[in-house]
Amino acid sequence: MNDILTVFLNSIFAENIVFISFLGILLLYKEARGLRTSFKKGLKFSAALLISILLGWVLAGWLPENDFLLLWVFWLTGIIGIFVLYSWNELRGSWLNLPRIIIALPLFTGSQWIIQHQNVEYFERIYPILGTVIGFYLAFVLTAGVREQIKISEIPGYLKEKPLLLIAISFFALALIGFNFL
Amino acid sequence: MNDKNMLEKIILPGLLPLVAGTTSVAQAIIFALSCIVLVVIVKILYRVLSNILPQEPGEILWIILLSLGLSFSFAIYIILPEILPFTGEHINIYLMFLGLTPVIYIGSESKNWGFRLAYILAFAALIVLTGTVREFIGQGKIMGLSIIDSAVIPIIKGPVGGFMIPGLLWLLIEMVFAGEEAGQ
Repeated sequence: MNDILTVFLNSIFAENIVFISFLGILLLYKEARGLRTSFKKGLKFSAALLISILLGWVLAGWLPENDFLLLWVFWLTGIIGIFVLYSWNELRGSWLNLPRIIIALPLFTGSQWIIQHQNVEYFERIYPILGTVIGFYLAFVLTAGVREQIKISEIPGYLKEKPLLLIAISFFALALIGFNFL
Repeated sequence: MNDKNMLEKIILPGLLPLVAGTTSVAQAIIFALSCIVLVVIVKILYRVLSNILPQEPGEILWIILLSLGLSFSFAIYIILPEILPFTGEHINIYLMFLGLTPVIYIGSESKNWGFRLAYILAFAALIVLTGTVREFIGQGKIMGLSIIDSAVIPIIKGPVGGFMIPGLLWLLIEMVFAGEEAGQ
């Protein structure tokens, strides 16, 4: 298979940013609720993620290879992505007395770090970038769907929602490991 | 706040280190200790910043605090393997992003150090417990010492175990609470 296609598919499946790389798991827990609303909401989050990753990619190309500098650039571009979301009326308000934006920060900063440290040429990095964003969108919609199913299923109340969702996500991770042949 | 809510408020803010920093007991201990160090640093920084910045600084204070938290967690990620070489094999990139995890910042504004320390110690205990279970089931070891050679499930060492073991532990605790409530 073409190397670039492999990198692209890997970023969606075998190295999915949420189910395999763990980033954005809290964001899914807090934001991916109903299946119907998740299609549009997921698009908003994915678009903001794409903006911040693209910005980070462009800036990283100009800067010297210094990890601390890169981390700060990715942090700043991550904040820009989050303020884009903020302007779309997402992540407003607080959670546990903290600004709600905190739930998205590991994903918006960490995904850029992971892509930057992949063994891919600079200009070919656009493929894992697109793959990461598509992978995140799929994870968002899938999680919302599973959550909805858990909610309407006939199981005891204490089993519903949070602990069971984490176990369901582990099965998604198990399924995605199957794509390692890529 | 009842105990069930408290459990959720311990697990969810620390979900990233809980799933990504618990492959082994040693890794879980490194993450737990790093969390404690960062909590103390952030608490002091919050005090200093809230005195320097104008009143009601709102999100500006949090963004400065988060960027400092990220810098300190990056420093731990870089310095720790230099001063303690044996930690190198247990460290992953998620240690660097510890400074962006809500668990580090909860209660920073509170003047009650006791609550803050109790909270982070509970989280540290949970992360070490998860690491112990994952290492035992995934590798048949505890603290690197071989306990069983067969009947291990290697997949637990990876992302599957990262989500499944905390989920099962959480479920187990919820079931215990549900049983207690039914008994009352």
